[in-house]
Amino acid sequence: MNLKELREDFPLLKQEITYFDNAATTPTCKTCIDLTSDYYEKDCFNIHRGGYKGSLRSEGKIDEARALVKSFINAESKKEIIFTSGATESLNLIAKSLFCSMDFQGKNIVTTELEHHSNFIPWIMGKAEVKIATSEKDGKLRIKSVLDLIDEKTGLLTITACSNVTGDFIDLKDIIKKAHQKGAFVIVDASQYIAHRKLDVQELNCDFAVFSGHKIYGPTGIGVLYGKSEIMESLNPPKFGGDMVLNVMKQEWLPLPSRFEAGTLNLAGIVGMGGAIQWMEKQGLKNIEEREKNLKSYLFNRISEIEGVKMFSRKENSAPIVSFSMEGINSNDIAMFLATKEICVRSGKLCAQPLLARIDVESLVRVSLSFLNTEKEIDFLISSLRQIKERVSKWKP
Amino acid sequence: METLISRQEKIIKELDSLDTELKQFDYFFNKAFLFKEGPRSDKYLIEGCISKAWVKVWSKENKIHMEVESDSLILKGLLVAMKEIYEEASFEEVNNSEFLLMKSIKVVGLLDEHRMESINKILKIVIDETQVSNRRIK
Repeated sequence: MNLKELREDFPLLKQEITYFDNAATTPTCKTCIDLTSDYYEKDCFNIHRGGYKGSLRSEGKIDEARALVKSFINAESKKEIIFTSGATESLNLIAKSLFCSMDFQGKNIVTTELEHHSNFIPWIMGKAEVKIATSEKDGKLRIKSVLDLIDEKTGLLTITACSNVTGDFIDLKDIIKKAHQKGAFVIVDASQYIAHRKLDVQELNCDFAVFSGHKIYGPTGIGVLYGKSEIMESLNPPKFGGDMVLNVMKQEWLPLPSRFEAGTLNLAGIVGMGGAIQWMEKQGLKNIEEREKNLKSYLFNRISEIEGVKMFSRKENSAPIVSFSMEGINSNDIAMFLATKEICVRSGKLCAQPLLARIDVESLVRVSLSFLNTEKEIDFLISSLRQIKERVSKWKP
Repeated sequence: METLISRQEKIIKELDSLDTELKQFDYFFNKAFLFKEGPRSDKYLIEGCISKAWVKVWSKENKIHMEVESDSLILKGLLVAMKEIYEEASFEEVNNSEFLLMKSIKVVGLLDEHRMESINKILKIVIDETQVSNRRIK
């Protein structure tokens, strides 16, 4: 990998910034930007509704992008790929669909403390009992806790493949197996996983999976809900509008995926996400994984050297995320200090209040890498962290 | 004689003379460290603030008094600056003036939507105190 050349593909990184907020949004790759711009210039016509050439051309582009997503996550069919505005909408959409299609009376939903709020609130707002698997004090998910909660009454297990706080990858195989043995559906939130490892929905055997375009070097406002076709076909759509209905008076819906894609989609976003997937596949997920492992290891070791740092991430089996707190310094102050040096990190509760309550911290600093980061950037971060520590020490008795 | 306006102008002048975010960061940091600890009671907790902030506002003889505290040193520094502006200000001064400090702030983290919302909440507490007290007097 020629890093200098690769970074040239990211106009955002030409700014004088040190970008460590990739778990929130990855920089957009040039392939995505060019395809999106090209689409708006030449092909931005509504699909399925026009018999003219432009509409058909546009339809072709969307179909092409759907095929790219299908292959990217190894879905069985293109019709299993539903385009949404992002992982949050995907989770809300499937939650509403399940609640209006199934009777959850007497059933429970199993989830975990590791979930992002977007995989928490839609379930709590439903009418089923929600059981929450716990994590250790260091934020590591207790797999046994998940397995113990799954019982005959479990209608659904909804779980992340990778924590947005700790970066831990979750070993899902046994969990999914047990959920299926008990007759439950399984949703996998792959938002933090998909940029770092191959998501193979068939191998994983999940029933649903969600992710966003902006976490895989693609556009914001676009995401995917994957659902096994035989299940999706049995569910009611939760959103209604044009281009999803066969017979309005009889409420007969169009086949998949249209019945779950009411209204005009973010067509340019879909095309852009397709471009980002092409770009990622060109780099090779294995190469990305290798580079990120080395970078994370370097970052982890360097941050660990700073006295008073408490780590909430692990080096092994995890995404390139390092979350930490520093004794005597508020995490938001650290982020603000870093911002004065144009270092971009995330601080706060990271949309994971249940997990932060478990690990007993008010807020954290999260440094999230991508394979585009450099060791030099990490060195700059470390020296800046040392500077704020010195500033505070100067005043403390 | 010092007034709310003159105290605010003094702080704005100091902030404007600091040409980088980093210098302003240090300015608020120092203000926070030089100030004694304020009240950390749930009664005074400002709801919805990203970092915990406690603000106690009361009045005596038609004048505002404040105590402030925060987990975040930079936010505490800003709250101390607010206290410096409003402490001992008369109700009339509070109601006839505008809080202009934020326009001179360069530290980006202090200007995000949630923090601005919290600052507005604190200003409302100060203004409410003048109204409530006025009603009490009447």
